[in-house]
Amino acid sequence: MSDEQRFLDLMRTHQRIVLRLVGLYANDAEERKDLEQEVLLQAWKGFESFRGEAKFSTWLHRVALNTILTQKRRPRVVERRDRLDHLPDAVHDPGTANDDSERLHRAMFQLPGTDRALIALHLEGFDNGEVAGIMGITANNVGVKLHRIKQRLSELLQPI
Amino acid sequence: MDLQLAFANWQPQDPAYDQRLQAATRQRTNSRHPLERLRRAIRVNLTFAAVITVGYLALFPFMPHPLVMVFLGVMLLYNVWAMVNTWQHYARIPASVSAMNDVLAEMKTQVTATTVWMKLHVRTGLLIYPLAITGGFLLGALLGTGATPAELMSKPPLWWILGAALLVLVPLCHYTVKWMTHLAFGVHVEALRRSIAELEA
Repeated sequence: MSDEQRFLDLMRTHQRIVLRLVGLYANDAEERKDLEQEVLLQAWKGFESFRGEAKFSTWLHRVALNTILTQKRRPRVVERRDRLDHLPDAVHDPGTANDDSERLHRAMFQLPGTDRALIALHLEGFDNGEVAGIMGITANNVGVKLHRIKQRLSELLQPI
Repeated sequence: MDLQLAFANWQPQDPAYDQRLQAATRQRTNSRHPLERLRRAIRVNLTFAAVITVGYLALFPFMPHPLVMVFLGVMLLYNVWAMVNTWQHYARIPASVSAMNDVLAEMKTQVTATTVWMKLHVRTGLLIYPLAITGGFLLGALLGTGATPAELMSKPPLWWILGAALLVLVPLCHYTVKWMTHLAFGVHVEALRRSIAELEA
């Protein structure tokens, strides 16, 4: 199997990772399209560095976050707010299948950029050590930050 | 709410995903990442610098006045030095986002690459742009009056005009370059620095 075919297969299997991360950062459909395209391009350019030593999902999270967090983005459509109902419809992600996932997505969107990455990795099932390896901070620091982020999320998810 | 479950239930879809994937592997799409934009800007600058340097060389035979030749020679050397410096920096900028670096290291790498370029560009612009404009003014005077360079340079008012032009143009060009560079990359660098500070806090 050629490298290209292997890459295509892996990226199709793991498309949820790309779409979720992009959905966490894009302000609207146009930006979502641009970010998605950029992540796919950078993943392809860096694919030769994937030697199968780590899980592909770990590698993809790293490339996607490196791309998204260093991509020049338009300013956020919303600044931090305390209520989720103020978020414009542009933030809505069609993939949020039910009310809870929609509310969680909206709440995560309120967090600062790096906090969104940390909580997304945690909710994907990575342990603190793995999150630390992807983000470049210590596992202890990840633990402290996640505690603070979860507190903030529970504030945001409080019923109005 | 069970956060893990709510997150797992978020299943985004994009009907155009496969099309974008194919476009990425067949390089049918251009990167809009700041790294690529930076490399593109440097390539454009280098091309212009090369054209201007060749232009200076072409002017040499028509400049019999020794002082003009000295100025032209200095500009040529300065141009070549700036081009070599810029090229060395260009070679150090990664061609794509790293798949090996962690997020913090990648952000720091990109901040360094961009700020080094911004400083280099502003420093280079301090002399190149004002001198190029003043040189253009001189050339225009030569062509417009039909005088020889020796005749033109022997007129004291011209020296005053040249001096005044440089006094105005050096700071003007310096701050214009600084402002434009900030507009192109400065905001992005500030955003990266904020993210680094967030992670390191």
